[in-house]
Parts: sequence; C-alpha cells; structure tokens
Amino acid sequence: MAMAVRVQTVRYGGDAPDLLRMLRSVAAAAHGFEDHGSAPELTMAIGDCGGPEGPDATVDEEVLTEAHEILAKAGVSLDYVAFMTNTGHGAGQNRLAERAADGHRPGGDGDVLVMLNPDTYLSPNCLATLVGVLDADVGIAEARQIPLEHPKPFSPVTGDTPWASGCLMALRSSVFESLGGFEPAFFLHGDDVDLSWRARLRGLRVRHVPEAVVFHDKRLTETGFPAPSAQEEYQAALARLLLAHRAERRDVIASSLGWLEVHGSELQREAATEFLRRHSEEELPATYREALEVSPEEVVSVACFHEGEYAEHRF
Amino acid sequence: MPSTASEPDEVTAEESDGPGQVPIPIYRFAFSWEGPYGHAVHLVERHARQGVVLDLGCGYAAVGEVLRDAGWEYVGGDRDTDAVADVVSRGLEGHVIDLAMSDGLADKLVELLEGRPVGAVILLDIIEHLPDPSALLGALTELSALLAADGRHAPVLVTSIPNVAHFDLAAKLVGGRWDVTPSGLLDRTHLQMFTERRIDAEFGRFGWQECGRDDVVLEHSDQWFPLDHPFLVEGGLVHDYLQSLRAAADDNMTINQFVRAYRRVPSWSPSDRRSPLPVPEAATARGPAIDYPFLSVLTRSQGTRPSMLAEALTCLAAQTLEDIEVVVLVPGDDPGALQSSEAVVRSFEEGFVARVRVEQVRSDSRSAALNAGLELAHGRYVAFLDEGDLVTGDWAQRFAEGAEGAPGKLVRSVCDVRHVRRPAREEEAMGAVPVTLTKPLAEFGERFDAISHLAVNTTPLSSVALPRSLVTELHLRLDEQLAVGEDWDFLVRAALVVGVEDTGHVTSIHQRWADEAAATTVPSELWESAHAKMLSSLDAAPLLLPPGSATELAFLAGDASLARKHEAQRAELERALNEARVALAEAQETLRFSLRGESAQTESLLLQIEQLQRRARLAEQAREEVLASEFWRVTAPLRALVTLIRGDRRDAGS
Repeated sequence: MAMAVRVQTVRYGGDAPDLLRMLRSVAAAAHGFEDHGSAPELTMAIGDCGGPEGPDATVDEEVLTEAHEILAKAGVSLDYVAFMTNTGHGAGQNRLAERAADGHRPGGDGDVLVMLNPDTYLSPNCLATLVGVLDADVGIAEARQIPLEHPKPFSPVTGDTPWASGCLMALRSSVFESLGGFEPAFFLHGDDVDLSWRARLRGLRVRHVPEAVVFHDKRLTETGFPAPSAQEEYQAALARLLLAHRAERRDVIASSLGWLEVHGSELQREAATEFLRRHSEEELPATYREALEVSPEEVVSVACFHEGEYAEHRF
Repeated sequence: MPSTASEPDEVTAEESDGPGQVPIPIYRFAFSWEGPYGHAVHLVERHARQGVVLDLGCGYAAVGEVLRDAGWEYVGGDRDTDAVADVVSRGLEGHVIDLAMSDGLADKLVELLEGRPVGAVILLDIIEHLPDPSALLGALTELSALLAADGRHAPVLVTSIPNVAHFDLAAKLVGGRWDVTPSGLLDRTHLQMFTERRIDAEFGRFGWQECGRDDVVLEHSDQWFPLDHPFLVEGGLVHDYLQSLRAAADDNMTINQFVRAYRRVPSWSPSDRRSPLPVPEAATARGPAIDYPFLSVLTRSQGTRPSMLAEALTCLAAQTLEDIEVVVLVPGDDPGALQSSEAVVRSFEEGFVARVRVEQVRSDSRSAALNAGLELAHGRYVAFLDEGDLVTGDWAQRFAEGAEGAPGKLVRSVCDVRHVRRPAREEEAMGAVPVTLTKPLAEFGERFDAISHLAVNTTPLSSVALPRSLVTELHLRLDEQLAVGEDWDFLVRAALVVGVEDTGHVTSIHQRWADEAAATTVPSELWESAHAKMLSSLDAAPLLLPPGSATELAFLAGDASLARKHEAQRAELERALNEARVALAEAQETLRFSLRGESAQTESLLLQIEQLQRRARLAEQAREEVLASEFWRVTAPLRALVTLIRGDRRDAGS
C-alpha cells in the first residue's frame, strides 16, 4: 500500500482567493513526489474555525467546490470539517489528526502528517523533500520559510534545530500519536515549540530542511521582522508562561510576570492574569517531568529560554 | 503639392465641383532632386520594375519629363482639366481622373492602362488632401489584384506625405500654436494629418508594407517661425529638453516628408483589415480594453540554479495580486539551460504556469537580457526580480496601489538587504541553499530622492515597477555599454521623465553574498567610469527635476559655497604661515649677523625668536586642528587666526 500523506491546516478567517492559492500549491506539490519514487496517497484536511465574525463564518460552498476541483485534478482528496467553534491551532490539528485515525485515512506506520499554516504557498518540491528526510531518528522535519527566514538556529551540517515551526512541519503519524498530539493548553502560539521539545525529550531529532521551501505570507516592517498583532502578543505571552511552567522554570515565570507587569501591553498583562488563574484553578498542563518521566537535567538540556525566545536566535 | 518651405511657382484657382466637394488646390512646383519629387524618383528607380509609372494627382506633372527621360512610361492622372491639358501639351500621357470617386477607380485605371505592365503608382503629396485616404488605398489594392489576375506583376507604391510630428510643430503646439499656412506642413487645404505611425497603420491595413525610404529631412521646416518663440530658441532650455524627448520617441523629428515605397504583402486578404484609428484609453489607471496584465515581471535565470529560480517563482506565484505575467529570461543559446528553467516552471500549478513564459535571449551583456525582456513584456507596468532575490506577498499589490494613485509614474517600494554566504562543503544539510547571516536590514531610503540618486543609487531594480509606456513610447532601454550601474542609469532616466510614486513599504529582499564580496565587488574605477558616463549622458540635455528641487539645490549650493569659502581661507592661512616662517628665518639671519658684530642686541633678539617660535608652533597646531575638524563651516575663527599670525609677525618684526 502506498504511503499516505495528510496535509492539515486550521483555518480562521482569511480571503478565499488566498486559501485557494495555497490549495493550488498543495496540488502542484503532490506532483513533486513523482521525482521521489512512488506517489503517496495525498489528503488535504481543512479544519474550519470560522473567522472574526464567528465560528460559523466558514468557507463558502462555491469555494469548497472549487477547492475540491483543484485538489481532485492532482489526485488529492479533500477532508473538510467545519468545527463550528474556534478550537485554536493545536487542538484543531489534533482533531484533524484524530479524523485520520478514525478511518478517514488509516494512520499506517509509514503515514505522514503535515501541519501547514493557511497563509502559505508551497514550493513545488517542498512536500516531497520534507517527507523524504523523515526516518527513525528524525521525529519532526521543518521547512524553510521565505521570504522571511525564521531566525532560530539550526546546524548547517546536520539540520538539527531546537524546535520546528508549525508553519510547515512533517512528522510520522505514529510519532504524533505517541507524543499525544499538540498540547491543547496552547491556543495559537508555542504549541510547536512544546511538541518539538517533547519529541526531543523522547530522543527524536527535530530537523530543519533548508531545501524544502514554503512561502509564508508575512509582511515586513522597518525592523526587518513582521509586526505581531495584539492577539499574537497575548498568545505569545501566555505561551511563554505555559512553556516555562512545563519546564518548571520558576525563574523564567517570575521574570516574565515581572516584565509583563512593568512593560506589558494591556493584552499581555491579561495573559499574565489568565496564567495565574489557570495556576490557582489547577488547570495548567502537566510538567515535562511528570508527563514524560524525564530527569530535570534532560528538561534543562532541551527547554531553552533565551531573551524572550526559545533558542538563541541567529539574527 | 510639396510641403517644403519653398513657395509654389504658381497656384491656380482652387477647384470646386459644387457644394460639398472639397477643393484641391493645384500647385505648380518645379522639380528638384533635393525635394520630395527627386526623392520619389529615386525610389521608383530603386524599387519599380519597368513599365508604366502611374502618377495619381499629378497636377502639372513635375516628375513627368524626368521619369520619361529615365525610360519609364509616364502616365499622369488628375481631375484638373487645365493641368492635364498642360501635361498632354508637353507630349506626356495625361488623363482626367478624380481620385475621390467612390467606386470604379480601380476599373478606370485598368482601362486606361490598356494592358500595359505597371512599375509604380506614385502619390506625391496627395493623400493628405483626400477626405478618405483609405478609399484610395483600397482602390490601389484592388488595382493590384486586377493586374495580378491579368498576369501582370504588382506595382510598387511610392508616396510623399508631410509629417505633422516634425519638431517645429511639436514645440509650437506645446506653446499653444498651430499655424495653418497657405502651403507647407500645415497647408490650409490638408484634410488629413499623418505621422509615421498613422501611415504604417493605414497602409498596413490594406496590405501595403514599406520596402524603401528616402525621406526629405529639414532641420527647420516652413513652420520654424516665429524665430523668437521661446520654445524655438536653439540652445534654449525648453527647446533642447523638448528636442531630447522628441528624439527619444522616434527618428522623425526633422523629417519634413515621408517619401517611401511600399509593396503589397502577398498573403494579405481583405479580412486582415483592422481599424487603424487608435481608440483612446480611459484616463484612469485601468488601461486599455485589451486584457493585458497589470504587471510583467522579468526574471533573469542562469538555468544553472534551479532551486533559486524556484524560490523566486514561489514568491511570484504566492502574490496576492494575481494580475501579473512572468517572463523568465534565459541568456545564451544553451538548450540545457532553457530546458532546466522550463522544467522548474512546469513544476508549478497550471494556473500560474499559464502566466509564465520562458524565453531564451541574447547574452552579450547583463542588460541585453533585460532589454530583450522589455520587448517581450505585455503588462502595463514592468518589474524585475532576479533569481536569488525574494519578495513579500504584497510586492505586486503595492505596485498596483502606487500605479492606481499615480498612473504612469514609476512606482517605488523599499528593498532591504540580507547577507548570506555559500555553505561550506561539510554543511551537508544546506544542499544548494545559502546560509542566511542576517535578518533583512534597512539600507535604502524610504523615499526616492532624485537629486541624491545622481550621486548614489539607493533603489535596487527589484523595488521598482515602471510604466511600460516608457519602453513603447520613448524606447527606454538599459544601456548595454555600461558594464556596471546600468540599472542605476536606467532607473534615473526613467524617474526623471515620469517621476516617482513612493509606496514606502518594504516588499523586496536582496541577498548579498558576504563570502564572495571580494570576488564580486566591482573595482571602484569601473563604478566611477560608469557613474561619469551616466552623468555625461544626463548632462547632454537639460535636466528636469521634481518639484521641491530648487530648495534642495539651493541648500546644496549653499554648502558648496561654504566649502569654497573655506578653501580660500585655508589658502590664506597657509600663506600667513609661510610669511611667519619667512619672518622667523629673517630673524635668525639677523641674529647670526648680530652675534658676529653687535652683541648688545643679542638678548632682545633671542627673546623675539623665542616668541616667534612659540607662536609658530601655536599656529601649526591650530592649523592641524582646523583642517581635521568640521570647523571649516564657521569661517570667522579662521580669519581671527590668520590675523593673529600676521599680527604676531608684525609684532615680531617691529
């Protein structure tokens, strides 16, 4: 039986032409496997969270029909589900992966899940290249983003990187399942860092693949980096506290709360309040030590907090 | 009826066949080899086969004897009976023919030819007098077909037509003048105005294709008046500037009459007719009704770095604005390079592939490929993205917004620079991908400054879109003689014609290869020479600068004048110092002399020398400080210093 590759995206808002353009790039990327031996059975899964207007602001029927046509021409099947609630990224991806396991597509041993942001465009050989590097060692493979490359570090020799961005990552279904999927406590940010750290704590490699290129539609500001939205600021602040909690880095929690109190925007301070609420109501996720039965030393060697980031950035 | 500056020898009364008929004046111009008649005879000799030369609208047949004597069978035709009678009286064949007759002209011509072969049909300064020139051209096409049906070869068509796009007319029209005259370029009886474009379109519409030309060139036409019109002053700024623009548009600004020969295109059929009249485009940014894309993107590809081409194309395929076409330019004639680029393109989704063309182009210079691309582009605007450079998803969209806000202007966004290096051999994970060293760094200004661009280029080509009308109307091209800086020169020349609309958005990223800097850095002499060449070509004509430039230039000139003042002060300081040195030497001389003789003065002299030496040291020190600092902007202290030194000398010498 041919390997199955399931590309999953969680949609929230966005214009229909942009979504269709992304799907066309997926269709073209399906042909990219032709140069890499046997063509896999390819599925495109879309989990629809609606949009800013509400969870029922889902994709129009005509757009869905067009999406079907675009994908069908390339032999890619579409698995569309309207969640009718805003699940957030990680939980949405988990739901989509569960649908695969539930029989929409059998999650065989060699099968691969690809997590993709909707505001992207795949270069033609991107998927095949990315899937091609997955082996027994490499738990997660991550694509290189253009035009703005992610500044986190990686080894140009081995490709090893501290964590993989959820913009475009591939991993075997079995690995995703054994890791228990994304931690749903993260809504939008940090779930990719968390998943990567857990993979590494399990002894798996996380690999950056420069030759697999994905266009990520980020617009530049004069800082040379994209400007985060207010919502992103909130989610990023909350994610940092959650990651520090899982890694049991009280020092990071303390300094982050202190920084947010003094310098944070209103939304960022709300994130701090939300973290403290979850803490007092014991709603926080388990620590890595508890969840994975690893030593504090192992956690320290993997979970890095550096100047507000999760690795020492290259630039 | 030549439209030369000369007056006709005689003008007969204008004919009129009654109300509604158009009077055609009958002129009696003498033949001259320098005028349109002589040029037309040359073309007949060069292009026509033996046989009849049919001179339609012949008037008094100025070319009759010349053609007959050269061995042609001359047949004149005119509707003026007096003129025809005159022609016949000179022993030439003449017929009364009305060229404006609506039907049957071709049949009538066949009839009077009586089976003779026709070498040429000539129309000398005639069609501009016709209410409907296309009817005559149609009749001649019909004549050609009738002759062919009869086994006779097709005649060449030789015409002389006045040029209303002569520079004199253009300059005066800018000044609001359109001086209709009794004869000449704006003969008051002209019913039609012709430019080369119109002639090509009208003749082409009936299957006539130019096969030879011998235009009459007049630096100054009969329209060169009044001589003191501000726009006609040779060496005047507006005159010279307009002339430089007019010269860029085409080669016709000094052509008085287009004297040209045409052959029928054998494959032409009446169904090939299209409207020759240009349809005015809406005066908005929407452009022509024809569905050309907004933007043509020219991408140079070596065909040797497929992954870099794929990245550039990925950026283009991901553009929010899809109203773009991409022309991938592969320089050289290596089929492998072409195939490699084509394979990369084909790997994209079909909707995008349909918008991409891969073209092999000349490779003799860096500019050659882009110039070839400019010819291939269809978009209303043209932008440039080389493989290796990257753009954000709103790159084309920002250009479109700029063009919408300021149609026809050059649109400029901002390009950032990120530094990359080639991976080392052991860096296996990289494949062919460069290692990124920096985030995109701001290096180029947010706004276009025309004056500073004369000194330095802060606008990489990937950050501009230029209206293609600059290419089609003014034939703007990259200078293939420039080994470097050709993009800079191109951009400045474009910007100084149409101006620049800034979007202010950073939308492109140039990759700079850090580890290859030494190998790829162009020697500064080459840059300087390219820069000098660019300036000298701009210096050749008056320069147009955007509003606000006067203030900027005044400021720059002020700075320059301060610098000149400083230079003068510095020279004065040097002179004063030298004077002080001389005074010191003189004092030393005196001392030596005194030591030999009058020792009584020694002590006082020694004291003076010590003083002089101290002040000389002081002055030297002050001079060094002055020269090393920005102090020169303030000249008053410098003057004080000079006075001090001079005063010292006088003190010392007293």
